[in-house]
Amino acid sequence: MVEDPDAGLVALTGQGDAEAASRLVARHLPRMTALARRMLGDSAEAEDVAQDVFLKVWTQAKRWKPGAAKFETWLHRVAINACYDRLRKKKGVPLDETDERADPGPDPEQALGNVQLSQAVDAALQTLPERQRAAITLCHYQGLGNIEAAAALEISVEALESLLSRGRRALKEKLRHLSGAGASGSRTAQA
Amino acid sequence: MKTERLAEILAAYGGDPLRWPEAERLAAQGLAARDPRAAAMVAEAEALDALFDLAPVDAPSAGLTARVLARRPRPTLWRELFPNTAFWKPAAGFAMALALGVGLQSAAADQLGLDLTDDVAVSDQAVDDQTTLTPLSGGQALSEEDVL
Repeated sequence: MVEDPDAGLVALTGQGDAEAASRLVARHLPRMTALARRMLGDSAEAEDVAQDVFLKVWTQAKRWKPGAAKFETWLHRVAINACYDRLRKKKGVPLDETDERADPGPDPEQALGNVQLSQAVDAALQTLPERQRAAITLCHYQGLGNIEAAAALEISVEALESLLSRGRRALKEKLRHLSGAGASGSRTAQA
Repeated sequence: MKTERLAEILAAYGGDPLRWPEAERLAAQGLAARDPRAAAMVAEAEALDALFDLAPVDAPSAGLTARVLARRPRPTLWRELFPNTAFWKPAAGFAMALALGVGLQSAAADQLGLDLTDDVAVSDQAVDDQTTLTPLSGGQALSEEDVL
């Protein structure tokens, strides 16, 4: 049986407990918003996705059965699928067809010239194919373990590793000209 | 662990051991600790991680939490009346009080030597004697005999 730190809160939320619902939102809303922001590159859309995710939570809380999957893994799957839906609608084509095609998106170098270094990194992230971006978002930014991230993406761990490797390699290439700035920025932050 | 596998792990998960597959973490850390070439590979992966970490994180807007919570499930009536108790507790309390009341009445009757069925017979007779029908509005009350 899967140990789930959220199981109690979800059960109480399903019974209408206001305190439990507030704690569940405080724990997960910022993470869901951040995930959607990284996937969609747009804060307003990310908040829409976060709201949709919690509407599903409110509906499912009464029926939630602990043990099958961790609540957080399920939550990430719902959020990722909601992001995929929005990306499909934007492009008007099924995700599979766009899977390995990089989004031309904003030019990272141009972003660096105009605004912050951080936005250049974000711009580079937005150019990755959706599934690579999702894999990196879940493992690097959301901190999910490989088994949980694979479950959230509904793929094998091997497939996850492949997406991660290709995504990181592509990002490294796009950010090659920033690597010195990033490393020094990091050292400054740690000092 | 072989260097090739460590390279695959670093390529996928980066340089932070917390992100490495749990089953291989100790072996990978051991290799990085004893092999300078492996340690250099880890350092390179860490530098890329540091670059990724520069990507901004937006905090949710002030109103988002309120909007989300406004649509949360509402409690049932039981939950409203007894917010910190399980559903069955008030029902069980009521049943116990009822059982206690019936038990006490029965015990008191035994102690006083009363036959409750006599009371019922007397009571029924009293009702028969006094039965009247009261009109809905005004007028004189009619006895059952008047009606018949």
